[in-house]
Amino acid sequence: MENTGNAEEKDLKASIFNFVYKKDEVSSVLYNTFTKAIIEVDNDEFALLNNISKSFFDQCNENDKKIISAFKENGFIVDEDFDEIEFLRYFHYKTKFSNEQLSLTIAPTLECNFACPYCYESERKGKMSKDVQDKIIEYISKKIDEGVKKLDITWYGGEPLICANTVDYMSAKINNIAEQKNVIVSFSLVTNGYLVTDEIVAMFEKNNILSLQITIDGLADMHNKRRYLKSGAGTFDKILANLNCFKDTKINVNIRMNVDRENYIDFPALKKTIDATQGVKMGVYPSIVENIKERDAESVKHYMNQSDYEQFIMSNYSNDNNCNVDIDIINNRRFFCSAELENSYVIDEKGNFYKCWDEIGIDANICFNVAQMENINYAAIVKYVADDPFADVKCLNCKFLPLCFGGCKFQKNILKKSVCNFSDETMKLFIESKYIKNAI
Amino acid sequence: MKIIQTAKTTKESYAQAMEQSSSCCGSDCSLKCKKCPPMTD
Repeated sequence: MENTGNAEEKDLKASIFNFVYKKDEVSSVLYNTFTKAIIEVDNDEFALLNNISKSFFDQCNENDKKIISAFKENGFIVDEDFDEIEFLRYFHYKTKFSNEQLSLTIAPTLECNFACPYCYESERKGKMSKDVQDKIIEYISKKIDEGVKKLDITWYGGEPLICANTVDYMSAKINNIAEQKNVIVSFSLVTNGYLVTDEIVAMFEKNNILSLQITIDGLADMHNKRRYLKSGAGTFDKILANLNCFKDTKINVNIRMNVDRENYIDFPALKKTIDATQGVKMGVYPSIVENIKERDAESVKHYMNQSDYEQFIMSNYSNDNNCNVDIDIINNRRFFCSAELENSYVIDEKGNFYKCWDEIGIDANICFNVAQMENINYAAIVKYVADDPFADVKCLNCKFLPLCFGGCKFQKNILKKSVCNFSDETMKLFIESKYIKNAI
Repeated sequence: MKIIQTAKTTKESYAQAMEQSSSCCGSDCSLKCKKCPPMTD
């Protein structure tokens, strides 16, 4: 607990992670990107923060000391000898190079029953062989023997439920190993939702696969235009009906809506539709369609830019549509994405290991194969693991560093795009809309 | 001064979160990293 009494033993300084904007002529809003505290202050109170030092504090009256103490309790003021950057750097590296956690995203096939025009994967035929499945299980077992205490497994594809038997077999094996070796394991699964049945849900529960992501891109017309079967047939009605399979189960279903300038307008209505479903633990969140590879289809050329996205956020937070979107800042973030972690990989059906989801199926990005562990492509690893936001002057001087840690390394190093996820304007809109109602 | 939200993260809670979390990035999101947009959990 911080010292918040009348006497300060150490010198004081303002946090480098204070985001400030003028609310009006007489007041400002402060948001600390590390502690996530938000306060509104008048100009005199703001001056206390700007002038802070131990000697200044000692001269203040009792009322001002209380205000300064509140600043300190909420992280807007820190001890002079506390280096906020070094603190973040320490936990960033500690997490990045920890061997106590293993995160694997496993695609038992890259085949899919859908033909979504915006998909970034290049589909290929083939399903994971029993030999590859067993080698991956051996790899996990060996990593546990080397110190892993927590396993994080995500089933991915293609469409993983095309290989439901593989998901079942491997999950059961991994659960057995985890139990024998006293390791915590958590499973999640990313599916388009079309092949979900009561039997599949029972298999999920049996194996403790308790977190699912299902993508729905709007209401029926919009979704069917974007996420259809290879035959061209729509999928909305079946996916929505399949959600009933999760009723009265322990499974959390995260509905993801991939948004661009074509479909974002459906977001509030989709959320209301999902929220009206009784008995299923569900939430809806938007995710921006990324321009990862050149596409011919006109239907996928509606990518949002930063301005579009800010407008989208504002419209969905405003009180007008009563949408109440489930969006929040990620808490306790230590890095941007698990691709940056030494002990995190994406595995395809051939047993090839990659760092990033966006690279699956591309041979040049293979780090190693589970059958040839000694043959390592370090170039594919270091572009993620060795990319260091603490070596980037722009990141080091950015008050949003605790929220993003340098952003997506695939976007930065492969696509050579800007990876700054936050702007002053975006942050202001977010705070105003989420916390200061009626301000917009 | 109007406190709209008190501190959700402290040095101590940040240090402990990795051990408590079941997700890879140490956040409390249910699905993570690529599966989450940057700003959400």
